[in-house]
Amino acid sequence: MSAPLSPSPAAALRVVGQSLHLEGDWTTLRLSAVADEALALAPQAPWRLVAHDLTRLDSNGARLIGLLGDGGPPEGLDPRWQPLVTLVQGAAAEAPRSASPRRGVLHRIGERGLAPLASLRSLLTILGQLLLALLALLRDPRRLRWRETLNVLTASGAMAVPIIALLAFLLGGVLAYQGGIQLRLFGANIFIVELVTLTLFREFGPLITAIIVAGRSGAAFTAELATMRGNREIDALMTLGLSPVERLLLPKWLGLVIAMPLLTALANAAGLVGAILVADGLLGVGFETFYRRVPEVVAAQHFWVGIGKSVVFGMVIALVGCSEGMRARGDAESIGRNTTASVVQSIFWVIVLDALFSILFNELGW
Amino acid sequence: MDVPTPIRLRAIETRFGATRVHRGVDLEVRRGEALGLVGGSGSGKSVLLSVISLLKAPSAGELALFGERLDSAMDEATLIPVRRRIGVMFQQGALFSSLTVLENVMLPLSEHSDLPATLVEEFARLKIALVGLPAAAAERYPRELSGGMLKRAGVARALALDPELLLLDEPSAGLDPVSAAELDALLNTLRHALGLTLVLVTHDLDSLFTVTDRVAYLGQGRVLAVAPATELSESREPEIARYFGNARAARFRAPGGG
Repeated sequence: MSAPLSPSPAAALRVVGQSLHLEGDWTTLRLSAVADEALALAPQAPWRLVAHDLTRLDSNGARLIGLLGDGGPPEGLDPRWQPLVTLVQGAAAEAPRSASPRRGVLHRIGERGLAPLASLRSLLTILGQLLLALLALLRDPRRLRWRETLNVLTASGAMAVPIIALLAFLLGGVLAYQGGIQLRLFGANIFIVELVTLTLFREFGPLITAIIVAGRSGAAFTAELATMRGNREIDALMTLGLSPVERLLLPKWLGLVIAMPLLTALANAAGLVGAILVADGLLGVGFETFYRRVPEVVAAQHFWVGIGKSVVFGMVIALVGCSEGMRARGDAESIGRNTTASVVQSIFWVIVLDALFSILFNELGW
Repeated sequence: MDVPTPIRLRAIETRFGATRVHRGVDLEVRRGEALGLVGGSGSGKSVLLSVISLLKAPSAGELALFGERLDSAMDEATLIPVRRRIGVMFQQGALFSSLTVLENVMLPLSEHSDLPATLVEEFARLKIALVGLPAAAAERYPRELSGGMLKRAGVARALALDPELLLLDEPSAGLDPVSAAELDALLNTLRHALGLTLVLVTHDLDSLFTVTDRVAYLGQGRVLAVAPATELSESREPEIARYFGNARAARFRAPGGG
């Protein structure tokens, strides 16, 4: 490399009686040789500083010298560095000395404790706004943003078909495999139909769909809205007299409410195909048996229970996604944090609701 | 001592797809000078700054920084020593939003030197004071700062390693006249005390007249003229004359400009 290597030596310090001789390049990247020594000598400041052999100086070097001296320039300082030393010493006098007031443990515990409440509050606010917008829409259906809603249906629904079909197919296969091994022990092969269909339709179909949609679309909603907030696009909408709820949130919400049951039906079907393939190989219970027995032993209500749940899951995922996006501050860090929070919260609520539904349906005898 | 020229550009060409931004830019920046880069919108001022800051490789031509020829084929390890000698202030500050101002300024120091942590913090606080930020700003996050403070913080971070060359992209854009004038004064002070070479892209004619020694006018993909601002504003070249059409009016309004 042809870089002109500095012929002068790195920074060095020499103690001579009560004075310190500064030598070499006192520049940022060449200071490390003297840094520890200088810091050790600093408490005994002020030293008498001698700078005849100083070859180079920059502001960080001048600051380090300032820590050792009495505030004045060192003896024998090259006049061309005089302005630098003066500037640095002036600034250092004003430089913030103290660290920020540390927040107490109680303060931080309180802050952490209240954070979920703030997010719940935002969730309820957005829910309220969505319901009001929905009411307005019912009164005047022409206000529906068709194009935005269809865009959401495409991005969150149609585009999710391959991944949901694939994962549900695998899940169905695993379910049939694990269940099949147990059933075979009892010679109850035929009951694989009930086992697989019931668990898929009632639980796993809606759940796997909700989890994938939360990760795909809920996260996308949050990131999109948070970025728009950062660009002040949402403020711009409001100043134009356009409602962000009606234009941005409602289409997302309606889109997921329509897409979720459709995707869940798809997941059910794909899961069933996976289960049939495994059941055929493992237990000899093939397509024909399923075709005959499913309508016979599995009441349609099981299918509709799952679909009904998925509609609610869709509402929750869109709600959380929108709420976290609208809450974000719009800088890079908060977009990441709120997107994470959006996915975690969506899945949390989906599973909590699923548990509540189980109890509810049990009481109702569905 | 023979000091190499900080920046030397020869026949630089850059293109984005089919668009040719530069069609042979020749430019030399002398050590210790403040050079302004001006030109109409889309004339490639900011792109040229990206080329000099080693962010965009030119598609043809020769770039030499501090006397060392650099080309796009060089690996990052070779470029790092050069990068350390260059400070860049981006238009919006480009401060890392997850770090406080102090942490932003400390980052290059702690990454590029093995100085003890106390000194790193000491140096960072010095930089914050040097750019005229109040002490309390050090602990704030970028989102809590005003536009003018963000620019100052951006300068503080760019100065962390005491670079020889400071590149600024529209330092006074978006600032009120008072803050802009203060920032110009700050650049002048820092430049003389720290011995900096400055290159600034700017639309602010006050900055051109108060900060720069020479101004390079970019147009038609080339440097059309390099001259002190007062001289350039008298230019008869139609494009340059049009650009400075409003400049003279602005200068007569600003007392002591130039």
